[in-house]
Amino acid sequence: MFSSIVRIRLLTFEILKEIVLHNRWFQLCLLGLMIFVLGGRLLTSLPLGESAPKLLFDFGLGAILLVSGCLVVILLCYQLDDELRSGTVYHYLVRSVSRWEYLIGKAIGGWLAVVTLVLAADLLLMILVNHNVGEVRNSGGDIIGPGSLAWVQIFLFQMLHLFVLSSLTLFIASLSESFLFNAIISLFIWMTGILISGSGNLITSAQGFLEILFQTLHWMIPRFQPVGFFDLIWYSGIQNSMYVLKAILVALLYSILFISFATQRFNRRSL
Amino acid sequence: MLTHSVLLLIALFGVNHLASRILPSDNSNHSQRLISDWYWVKGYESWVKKDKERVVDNYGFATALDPGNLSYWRLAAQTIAYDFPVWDIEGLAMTDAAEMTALRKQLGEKALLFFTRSKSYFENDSTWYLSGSFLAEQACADSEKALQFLETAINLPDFSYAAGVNYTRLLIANGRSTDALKFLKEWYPALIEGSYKFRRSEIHDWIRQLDSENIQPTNSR
Repeated sequence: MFSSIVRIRLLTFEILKEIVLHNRWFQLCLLGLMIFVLGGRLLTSLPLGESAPKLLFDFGLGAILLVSGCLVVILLCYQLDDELRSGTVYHYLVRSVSRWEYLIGKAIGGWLAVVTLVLAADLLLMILVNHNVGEVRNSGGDIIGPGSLAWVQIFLFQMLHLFVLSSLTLFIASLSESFLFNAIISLFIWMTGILISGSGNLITSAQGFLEILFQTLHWMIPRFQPVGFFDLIWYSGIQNSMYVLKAILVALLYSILFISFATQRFNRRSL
Repeated sequence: MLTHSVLLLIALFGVNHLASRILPSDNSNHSQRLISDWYWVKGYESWVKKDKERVVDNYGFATALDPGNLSYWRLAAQTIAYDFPVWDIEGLAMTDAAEMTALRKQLGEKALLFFTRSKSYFENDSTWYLSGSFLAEQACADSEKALQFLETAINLPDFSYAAGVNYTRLLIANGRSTDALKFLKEWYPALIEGSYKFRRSEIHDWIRQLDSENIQPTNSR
């Protein structure tokens, strides 16, 4: 078990170093995301009054969510596809690294790289939002922005969200050798998961076949609820430890499930 | 790595500088209007749940993203002025009339503050000043402020009939019948003969009544 952890750790850092230091697309995404988050400042010059920091908060977290989600899917799909095509994967597998270790190392490596990007963007957004909240308060507004602990919870939730997405991508990537298929299907499931999370009203108002369809999708597809969570943090403040624990357990459950399926599939493909 | 970091910092400062210089435009594009409508629907969802904070934010985003839409500004301000006090009174089970009046006035002022954020987009629209005057008069119980709105409206080259009539009504209600008569006499020649929109006969009757000093302050509109 200990040797497995060591191997996963080595693989993870190898992949992390590869992405952060040598992947130009990743670096461009980091720059693009920072510019995007900073561009959110434009919104505060609209006639928003006390609501300006909330729109900045929504816009920033929305941009981070979209960029990081798409990036983690594309990075993992591309890397797996590339390693399978070029045969680099055998370089790992012959070094007594088992398939599940390879997959977990891959998932954690890609995930950590995107998490560093999210951390940088979150820090920038936190500074911008707090600065804007300060400006509103100075002009007589009565508003309280999220505190440091709330930002930590947001970051934690983003990390969990991305980890589930990385494991889901690995599972989809184990089904096919086509990069495009893997990326599109993973992104489609992710988007449907986000939409399904906010479709509570649709489900209650739907009738007949539509109702059954919505309920089945609601039951089958993992529900990613980032938008609702960000709203909850803004309006109700930090969440209690039970809520956080529940989120961690659900994320772990989904991740383990997806990685197990992915390992099974890779075993069957006799790599 | 160092070169990358320096380039990143320069780019960030550049964007930051640019962002602070670009001013909002009153010509919202199609996608901006779509997002605005989406926030309006979200605002309605919050309104159904009587969630004041979310209503203000969502209606605020809807109006800010499509600032040229007067209906959104007016409806959002009216929600703050007329619905919020009812929710509060129900929620807190208020019975004291003085407390209720104070609450209505406080929220009316909040609504008016919200509404006046749109001023720069409707500088030459007398309907905007008319809406502002209604809020000031009915929600804030401040007829002087309402008169200020209407004074600006009647100084516009093309003010509406309703703005002129309400201005006169408020002048009379505030005991300034002479000013009202003077205004009506100046306005009357500009009214179009036979137009339903600008009813000359009504104004003529009003002038006659004021001339004979039979007019009584009234709240009718």
